[in-house]
Amino acid sequence: MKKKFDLKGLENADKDLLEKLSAKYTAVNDKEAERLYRRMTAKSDDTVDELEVKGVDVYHRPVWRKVVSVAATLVIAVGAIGGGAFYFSKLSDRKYTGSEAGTAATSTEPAISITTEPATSCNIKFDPSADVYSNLKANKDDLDMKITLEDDTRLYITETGGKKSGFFQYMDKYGGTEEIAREDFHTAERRMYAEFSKKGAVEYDVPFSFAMYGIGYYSIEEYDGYEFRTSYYRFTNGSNAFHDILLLLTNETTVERLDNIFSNDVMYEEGPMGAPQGKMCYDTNVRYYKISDKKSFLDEINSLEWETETQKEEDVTGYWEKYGYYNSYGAYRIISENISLYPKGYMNKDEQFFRLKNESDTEKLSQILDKYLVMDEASALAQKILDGVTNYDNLKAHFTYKWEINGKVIRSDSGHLSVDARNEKMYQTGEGFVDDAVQYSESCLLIMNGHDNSAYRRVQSGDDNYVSCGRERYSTGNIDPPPQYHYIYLCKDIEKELTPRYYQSYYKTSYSYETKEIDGNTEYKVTINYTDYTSTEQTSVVTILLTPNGQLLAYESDGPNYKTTFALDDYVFDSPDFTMEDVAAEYDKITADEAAYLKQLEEKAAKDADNQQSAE
Amino acid sequence: MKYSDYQKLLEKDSSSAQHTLFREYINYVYTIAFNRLRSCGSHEDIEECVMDIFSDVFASYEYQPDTHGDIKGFIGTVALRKSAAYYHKLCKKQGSISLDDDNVPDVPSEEDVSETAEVNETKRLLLKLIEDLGEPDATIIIQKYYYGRSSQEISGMVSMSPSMVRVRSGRALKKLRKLLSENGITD
Repeated sequence: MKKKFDLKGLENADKDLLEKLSAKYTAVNDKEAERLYRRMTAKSDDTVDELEVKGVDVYHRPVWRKVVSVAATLVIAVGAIGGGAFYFSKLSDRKYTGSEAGTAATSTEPAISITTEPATSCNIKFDPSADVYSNLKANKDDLDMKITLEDDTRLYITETGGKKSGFFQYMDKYGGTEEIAREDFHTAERRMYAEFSKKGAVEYDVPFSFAMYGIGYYSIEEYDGYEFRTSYYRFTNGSNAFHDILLLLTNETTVERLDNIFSNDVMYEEGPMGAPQGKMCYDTNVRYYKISDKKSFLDEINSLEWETETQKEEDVTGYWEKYGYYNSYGAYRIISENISLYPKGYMNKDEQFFRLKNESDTEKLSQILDKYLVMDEASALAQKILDGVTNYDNLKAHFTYKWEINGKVIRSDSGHLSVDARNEKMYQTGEGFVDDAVQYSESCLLIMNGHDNSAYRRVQSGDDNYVSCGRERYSTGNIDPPPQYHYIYLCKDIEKELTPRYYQSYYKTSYSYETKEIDGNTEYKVTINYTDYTSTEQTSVVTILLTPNGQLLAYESDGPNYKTTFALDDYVFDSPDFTMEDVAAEYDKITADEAAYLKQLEEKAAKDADNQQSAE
Repeated sequence: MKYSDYQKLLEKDSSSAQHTLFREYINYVYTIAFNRLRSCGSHEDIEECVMDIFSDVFASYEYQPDTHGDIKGFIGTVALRKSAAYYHKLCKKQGSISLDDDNVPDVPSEEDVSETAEVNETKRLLLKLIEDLGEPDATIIIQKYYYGRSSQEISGMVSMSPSMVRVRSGRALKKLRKLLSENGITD
């Protein structure tokens, strides 16, 4: 049996190797690093260890103290700019308590200063008797304003031009006139941070920072060089302020772009814990929904009685702790509000966990979700394809497959396909060639023996008829040949391509569709515009031909530097005379061959080691 | 970063200085903690360990400012020690050794000291063979089979679609297995 490959051999390495490893490979990305830093600074009120370090000896003496100096610094970032927003006022009514009003966001990402005026000596004046906003305003002429736009994983930097005065005018008009208590303050993922630094300061020096949330709350932090003072407010014009200020500081194109990125409001993810079918479905499934009437939806959610979850029940620990506190398997995540709703009766808001007070409300929660959530077009197509994998009886067909990179054909095959759909069995044999540095002919057998239990046997032509075989699963991700060559995994792969996790905030930017009826079947041409890791705009076009029932007949994926096609011809669905190859027997045979191959490898390694020892 | 640079930052704005230090060394510290705890600690445990390491480093610089000229060396030492302490607490299950306990060994555990030069050479060879795959394959292999990241996550690092990452990882793994076998390393 091919065991799961794991680089365990690198564990417990020495310092020298660790330095090499860390210099070359990312252990934690910027986003995660910032999240960690925020968590750490949030923890600084707790007991920490004071250390005395002498040479290499470390002595610990726990003390109770506050690490004021670890308090967060603030830069500007606009996070998770979403669609419509509103006051989450009811949720602030003490039906649940303890929501964190975290305002301290940090980043070392560069921000572009909006002014280019030369450095001037200036003294920021702090009036301890005045409120924080008044102090900020009193010093506005001596401050630069910086802004960085962020969409959860990626930073968008913008220049705000000479719009600082407009910002203060808006604040004077709609800013809260009275501070609110921190416990009445709420945050959301749609957020904007602003940093006011000393004009022309060469060093990092930020006396004021501003954080605003899509639900209409904002906070201003003052740092006079000794301590922080934070005030909390709510805009008098509610959530409109968020959109207005974003527009004021950026431009319509930017706002529209960010709105498009977050045009989908709800992401649902089901994985090992949440899959209603009780199986993994070849990995997790993600679906996106629009909320038909967001305000009414949230009002109805709020009309249910929620209480703070304290008991670690199985469902809660299963959903929440087993996979990490940020995981939302089995949850409908309202992306723009930082709220996750679990159909079993749980809710997470701003990393606080709540449960329905009355178990009878669970049904009501499901009804509210059904009433307001409308699956988006890409998710609906993804669902149709996934349903199409098992909602028929059988298939016999001839298939062709071709994979090109930069115009060069890497693999080309054609052959026979049998599918026993109800029992999730597949038998696919192909003949063709592979160009893997050198070109060779190959015959390939792919089988699936029940849900996600696949195996392959590849025989290369040539002097030694090199054979490779083994078992594989889509859900473990190591598929060779690629999943697009496996008829059933191809369906799953298309489904995933249409619904990647967090595509709004990751790299997919938009989908557009054209559909065409061809002989009673439907061709979907999906154009995917996205920004790749280098911030380059890319386009890929996926064309899919489906039967009315959702069975895949043809697929073509045309990307920036690759093209893959898979098509059936001479196909017959649901024949009463269908007979299936003995997939189970073939699976057992490959399993045995794989074990023998691995044993052979081990023996060879042992023999080589012996030979080396003898030679020495 | 030199200690003198950090000291200057610290005098100006300690929170900003700490943030800068954190960003400068987070990858190094995370690499160390992950390396020690990946088999027995959860993601959350590793993060706790990383936060503890930085808390110790910050506190140490605050109270013993003149003793640690070599920042990276000092942070590396603290990180190795703290990770070893976490390892004992999480993985060895030898009673209840507190991380605050003075008895936590100053010298890394017997597991550490039992690491022979030969074992370290094997690790070095393993890393070299991975690097010999070239980029982006080496990154894909490390991210997938060491850090356990998904093709989706890796795709952002290597400017490829998740599907392409899957394809590349399959091929790269095949090559790596061959190299390992040729060099007498069993996976």
